[in-house]
Amino acid sequence: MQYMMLIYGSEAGYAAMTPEMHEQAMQAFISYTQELAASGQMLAAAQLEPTGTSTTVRAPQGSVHTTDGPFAETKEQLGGYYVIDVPTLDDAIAWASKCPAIYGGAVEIRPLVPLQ
Amino acid sequence: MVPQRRVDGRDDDACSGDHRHAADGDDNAVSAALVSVYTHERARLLASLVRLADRDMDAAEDALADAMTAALQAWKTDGIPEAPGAWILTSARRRLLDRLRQLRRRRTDSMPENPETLPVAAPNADAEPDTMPDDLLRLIFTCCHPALAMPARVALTLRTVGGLTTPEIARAFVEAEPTTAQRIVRAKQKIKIAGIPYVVPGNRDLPVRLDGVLEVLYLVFNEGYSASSGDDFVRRALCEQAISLTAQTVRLLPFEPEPLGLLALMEFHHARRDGRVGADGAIVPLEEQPRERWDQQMIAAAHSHLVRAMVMDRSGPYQLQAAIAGLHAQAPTAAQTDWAQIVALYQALLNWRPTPIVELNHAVALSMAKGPDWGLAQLDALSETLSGYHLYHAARADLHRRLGQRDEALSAYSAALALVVHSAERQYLLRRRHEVSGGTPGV
Repeated sequence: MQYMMLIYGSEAGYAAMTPEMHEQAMQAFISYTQELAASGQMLAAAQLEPTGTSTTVRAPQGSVHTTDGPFAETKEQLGGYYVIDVPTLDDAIAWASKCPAIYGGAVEIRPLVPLQ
Repeated sequence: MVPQRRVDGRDDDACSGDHRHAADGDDNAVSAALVSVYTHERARLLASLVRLADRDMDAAEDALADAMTAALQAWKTDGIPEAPGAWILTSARRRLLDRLRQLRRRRTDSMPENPETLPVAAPNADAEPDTMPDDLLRLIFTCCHPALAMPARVALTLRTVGGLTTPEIARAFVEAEPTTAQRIVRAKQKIKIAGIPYVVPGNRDLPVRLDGVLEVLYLVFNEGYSASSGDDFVRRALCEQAISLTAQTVRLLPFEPEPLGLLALMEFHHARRDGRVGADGAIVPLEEQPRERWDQQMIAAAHSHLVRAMVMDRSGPYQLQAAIAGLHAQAPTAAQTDWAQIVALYQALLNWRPTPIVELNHAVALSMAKGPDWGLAQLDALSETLSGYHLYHAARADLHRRLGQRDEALSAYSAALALVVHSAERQYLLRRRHEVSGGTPGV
């Protein structure tokens, strides 16, 4: 089954990090991503730019409106994702449990709708 | 194709078989056989079908229900088979595989590609045996999976493993039927769609996952034992259900001590069911319960379960709690309770469960072992965390009462009464406050 692991964390917390902490966090993510890729179970991954760079588009009454900022203001923001292909939810949970994001942030696991 | 009914009420084709005497219709025997399968084998059969259905619990339940319906008719005609459970499993399995093939065909038909190029795989269930010993355990672990919310785990476990109906579960947890129904529907969908596996966890995950299962079972028991509402009959049935589910878990994992500890704990508590509530409906405190009304047979069973757990020499919170309950249940009189030992067990339990409630119980035990002063000193330290908990104030009140401190006792009883929900507990507190205000001296 394919799952997306959505990585949530506090951008404010991230911005407040010292350069050393920042470097440590980056290293943790790099080695996690390398391990995931080496397993052959990773299909895709990306880190997202902070929500300050996002643009939200809606057409509430049929006409397109573009707004500055994320879809919803939350305490923790979506900061990246992995798409993995593993046999069961337990395997996905095992990968999420190794993700550095769970210390201070959170990883949400969502199954992908299978392509027909 | 429909058999013609004859005037004597028998089906035509029933008369040609060798089972004339059975066909003469001992309807009661057929019903009894079906009830027996439902009571004793339903969970095991369902567990196998869920595996065959690749975790589609609805499909498995439908197939089982259809097979039971078919059995009612067939057994009246052909007689009750030698192995009724196996008959039903075979019939349910066939129905399930037919349905899965149909679904597969429909899905294949709707595909844009040339269907002939697609492998029309036979359901892999064909290759597997009908039942595997682990199936029931798989069902239990799947229903108690940590990816499901606790209320969903409880409802789903009672529904699939326990065989309770949705209205029964709703009544037990005092919630609206549609709420319970939706909880169960969502949980089943999540198991199917999110890929919750139908497996017994491996050695690495087993301890944590087993804790999760025991938590569900204990919650079911506690709901029955000390629910704040709901009628007594439903609550007692819930306790028995929890005990039976725990006993099944013990049978499936005989070398794990904590399920045995939990079973012993439930049995020690449940053995006191007839002494816990007085004629007036008030809770009777342990020390005043008529011990001759305790179920000695169940206490003996609990004791042997606890001993079986303890010889494995892997301590755990349920074994410790069972040991405490056992010391209470096995003391010949309240005065002969081994409080020093209970204090030591609570201290050990605090290593596993450092919660304010365990601290409260520890303080009460300490007051019994060394005197009310000791208990009060400990309770003072808990005032901030537990000031909203009625039993905290009830414990304080009791200690002040025993010290003959009438005013302090009265105000603590009032604080407890302001917070208590359960009517039987309220009755008890009212009686105590009345005794104290009437100048009845402390014990």
